[in-house]
Amino acid sequence: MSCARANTPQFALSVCHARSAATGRSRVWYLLLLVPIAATLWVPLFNRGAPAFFGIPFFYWYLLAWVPLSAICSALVYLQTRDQH
Amino acid sequence: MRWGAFAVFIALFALVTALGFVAARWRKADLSDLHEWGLGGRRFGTFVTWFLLGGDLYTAYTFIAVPALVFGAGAMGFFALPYTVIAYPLVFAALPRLWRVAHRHNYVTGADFVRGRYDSRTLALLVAATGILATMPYIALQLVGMEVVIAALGFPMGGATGDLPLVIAFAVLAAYTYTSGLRAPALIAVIKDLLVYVTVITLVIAVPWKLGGFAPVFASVPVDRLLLAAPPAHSLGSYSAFASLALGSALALFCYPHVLTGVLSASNPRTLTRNMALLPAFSLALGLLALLGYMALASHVDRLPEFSPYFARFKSSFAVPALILHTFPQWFAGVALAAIAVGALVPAAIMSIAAANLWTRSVYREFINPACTAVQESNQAKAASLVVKFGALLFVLLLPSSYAINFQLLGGVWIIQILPALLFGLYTRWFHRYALIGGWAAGMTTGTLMALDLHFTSAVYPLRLLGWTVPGYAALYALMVNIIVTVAATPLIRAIGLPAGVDSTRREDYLPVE
Repeated sequence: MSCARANTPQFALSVCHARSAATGRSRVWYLLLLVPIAATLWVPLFNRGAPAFFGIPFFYWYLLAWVPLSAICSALVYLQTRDQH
Repeated sequence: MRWGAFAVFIALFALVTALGFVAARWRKADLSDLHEWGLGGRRFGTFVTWFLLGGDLYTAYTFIAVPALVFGAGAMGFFALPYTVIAYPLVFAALPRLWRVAHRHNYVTGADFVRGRYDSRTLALLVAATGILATMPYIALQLVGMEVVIAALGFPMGGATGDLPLVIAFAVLAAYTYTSGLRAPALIAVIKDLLVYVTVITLVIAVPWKLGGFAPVFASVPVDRLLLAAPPAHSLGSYSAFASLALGSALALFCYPHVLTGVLSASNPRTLTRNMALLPAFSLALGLLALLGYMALASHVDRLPEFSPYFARFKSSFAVPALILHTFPQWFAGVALAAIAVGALVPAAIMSIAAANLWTRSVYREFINPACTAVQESNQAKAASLVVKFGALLFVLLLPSSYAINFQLLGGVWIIQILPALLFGLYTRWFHRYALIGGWAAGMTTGTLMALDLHFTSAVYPLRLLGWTVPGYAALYALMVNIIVTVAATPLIRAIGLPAGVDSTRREDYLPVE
């Protein structure tokens, strides 16, 4: 619903406040999308061989692990901001 | 000829062709309407969108080139993984906005949106032309991927007989794209992705099994290629190259016409956000595919005499087909090679549809026949899709394949230049249309000069700045020039008093319906 269409000024005001607070809170969740970006682009963080995992050097399994981890981040953002969509 | 593999391959190819023609009757609608032919009526749900975008983003070239890069260059080739990891959060956060505004104004392409937002048919024309220019070599590369597969099936390489299977396969593709539009690749993508998953999972289990686990696979990789080389003094070395290739590729992805076509055909924005969490399943397959490069290395396929003529012709691009032929019995090699070939057909179809939509909306309807009927418009698009495909076919048949690869590299540098108009345009109308045109020109020039300076041998430009060397993806550097020019020119042009044009979109067009 649109705030401008509300019947009384008081009602409009309270609804607008509630809405912007909710939007503000869910906006914060979008920051979570930055985590996989930073984690996979900052090369010194993962450019090494140890510890290996089933014979796979760290560099490779770390990057592979970020695939499901980023999906989880995306899913969390989706669920937390769903009321907006 | 490898007859066993060929028989399975032909059977799967026939199945896919039948699906392509049947698709015209799937979710039946009037295909003489551009948004039905070119966007599947914007009715694809989460499931179909997942397969369609998966089929769209992970092309035959990906299956061949990513493992080939890892096979030849080692860890640097793995930039493809962070690229797909960051592409979804980065790009898909913005796409629901584009979907909503496109839906409300019946925009079929990114150029349509730019036209409406900035009231500039010149800017829209530049966006469309950039899209078509970048798409043509991309289609050509799909054909290069198919060439490798056709050779692997045992057809003679080169000459008229060598080219014939490629011409036939492409003519079939052109026919069902013409009749069914986007419905054909959408339906075929389901089969394609299933074949790809079966192949990748089988390879990733079977090869380490044969070789005795992952440790021997990585042990066969030369030590200096196993990790990224530590940067020398006063340079960011391979670190900035790796990160900028990943970031630049992710940003460029958003701008490619075939990606936007896949996105706009979704039935609603929620389908897109849901896919943001589901599409990484493909990234996992891509990561495993990249590892195939090392498995090919560990299997020493390049030293087997039976494959030497192929490696002589296709170089490391033959690593994956060689691994497939070396590891599997013929019938399963047929399945795997079909997966790669169908992996070429799906994106080639979507790319040609996307380029056709751009031509029809931003050139034909804008400059040639503004009073065209809906039927004329869709007929124009169908014809354009044929022209685009046969153009790409001629490109591959007449020129050496290194041209296709060079132009694809340039395509990435070019396509990212429409990002300010497209992506920033979704959030703000602050930029002036003439400033965007100036920024585009500056970015295109800078990027092309960088690529020429590197003689097309690499996409990584060693930028020298304050005594430091920062090697980075040329597309990203050119985009920075573009953005700086656009930001600096906007207030200047406004001060001169040039008209900004009328924005035909409203703020609420970008937001969810309340």
